[in-house]
Parts: sequence; C-alpha cells; structure tokens
Amino acid sequence: MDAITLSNLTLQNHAIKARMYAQTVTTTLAQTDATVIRFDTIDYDPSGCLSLDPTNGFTAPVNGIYLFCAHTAYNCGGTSGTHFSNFGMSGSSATVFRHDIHRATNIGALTLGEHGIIVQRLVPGDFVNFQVAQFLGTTPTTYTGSQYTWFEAYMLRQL
Amino acid sequence: MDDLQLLLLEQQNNPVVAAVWNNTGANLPGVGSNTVFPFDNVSASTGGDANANFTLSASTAAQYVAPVTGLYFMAFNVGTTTSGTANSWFQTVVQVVSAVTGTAEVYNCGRRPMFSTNGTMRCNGARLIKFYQGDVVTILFGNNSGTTNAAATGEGEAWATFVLMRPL
Repeated sequence: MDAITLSNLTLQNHAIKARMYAQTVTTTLAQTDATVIRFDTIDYDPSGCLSLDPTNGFTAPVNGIYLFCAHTAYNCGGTSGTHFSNFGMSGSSATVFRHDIHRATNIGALTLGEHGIIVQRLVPGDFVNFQVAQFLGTTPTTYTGSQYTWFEAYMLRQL
Repeated sequence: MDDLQLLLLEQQNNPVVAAVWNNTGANLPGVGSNTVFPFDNVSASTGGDANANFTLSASTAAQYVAPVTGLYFMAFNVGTTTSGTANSWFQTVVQVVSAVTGTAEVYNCGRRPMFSTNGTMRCNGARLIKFYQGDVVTILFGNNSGTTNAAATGEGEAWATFVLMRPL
C-alpha cells in the first residue's frame, strides 16, 4: 500500500468529524446579546460529539487541535446596524470563551450571512457552540436549510 | 497497528503548530495600505509555538517561517477596534516570500464593506497552502477607509494559527 492510499484510508476512518444543520428549527436573534444558533439535524457524527437543540454544540472527546466552521443567514429587516458572530467556548481548558469571527455594518434590507472559522486546542469535555449577535434594531430569524445554517467540526491533530 | 493508529502516531510525533494573537495592538494605515498585522503573544490555549516558527512583534514585523516543505492549514482573524469611514472596505491578504526564488506572492483572503462609521470590523479567513521550507509568511490587513485604524486586540479577537497537515 502506497503512502497516499494509506493516508486516504486512515482519513476515511478518522472518527472525529461532524456536521449538523437546521432543517426546520429557527433561531430568533435578540439584540445586543449573543444568541446560540439552534440545530435539529445531524448529517454525520460517528463519535457522538454533537448535541442538537436545546444544547446545540460540540463536546471534544479527546485532547487535540480542532477546526470549526459555521454559517447562518437572516434578513436584517431593513434596518442598519452592526452584526457579528462568534464561536463560544466553555470547558476546563478554555481560556478563550468567545471568538469574534465576523463583524460588519450594513444599511437597508439585506440578507446577511454570518460565516467563520476557528482552530482551537481542546481537552475532553470542552464545549463549543456558534453564536450570533446583532444591533440592527429588530429581532431577525435565521434561515433554515442545510445550505444556510450549519456547523462543522473536524479534529486536525490529536495531542 | 491499524491505519488509524498509524495516522495518530504520525500526527503526535509531528506537532508543528504555531498559534499567536495580538495583545497590544498597532495602528493600521488607511487608504488602501496593506500592513503586516501585529501578533505579539503565543496562544498556549490553542496550541502554542513549541518550534518557535513565529517571530512575534508588537509593531509590524510578525511573521511565520515554514519549518519544512509541506501542506499547511492556516486560519486567522484580524480587524480593527476603531470605526472606519462610511463606504470603505477592509481586507486581509496573505503574503508569502519564497525561500526558493525570493519573490513575494500575495493571496487575497476576503474583502468586506463598511457602509457606515458606526462599527468596527473583523476579517476571518483560512487557506490550505503548500509552503516550502524557509518560506516567510505574513498576514496583512488593508483598508481604504481614509483613516488610521487601531488593530483589534484580544485572544478571541485577533489571532493566527498555522498547522502542518502533512510534510511533502
């Protein structure tokens, strides 16, 4: 077996990768506070790391460096203001409790997409979720569908 | 030993990770300038920098030097703590100075508009890219706001992480 084949085989059998999305559940985004995005459907999660609504997050099973990506979208309702999204974290090793990964201002009735990525070292039991905060003057509702509101996790390296 | 155990063993013995963040900040010129974003602290909570691949600087000289030729994953988050002018844009650019040819290549990693002065900015991005041993990598932040903005600070606000995925 050559190196590429071995690499592909081992990656395919790598257990710690996960994806979930919001099929029907929506999230109402309160003003000023970071609201945890809700999910109701798991695409794949062979290690059982994901928890759906009302918990809505990923629990690290082993010590390692993890990659997280997430996205959601909503209509700002025609008002101007600032919006931003975070990956929230909690756990025994997490000294960083919030990654501010998307921040912008808008005007008018726009559909806004919140998208970001982080790399984070976690120990078993650390918990990560996806949050969005906004100062638009309204309380928009997130879009549903696997293309709009999703959360992915992948362990880059075990430590 | 099965394949998964072999992969994990390989990864455990190849911990080339550099994670840094910006604590003290620096000014970022406006009007289209691309300035090296300052990183001045190792992020131990993310993965540290055991091999000292990152040169830190509170001014504008922070840079990463690739320790081996390989496929790297890099993610970053940069921005400002001061508002720009209305209808301006902010962007991040990754610059690689080749150890082989000495030439610099830049890769744009996103540009974001700011429609009013009532806000600050974050640019988040990632790249999967091949580096040659000795390549010097910097993360630049640029804008055309016409004003000088302060770099965002904080371990959750302004950071960069490099992970060697596989030597080549």
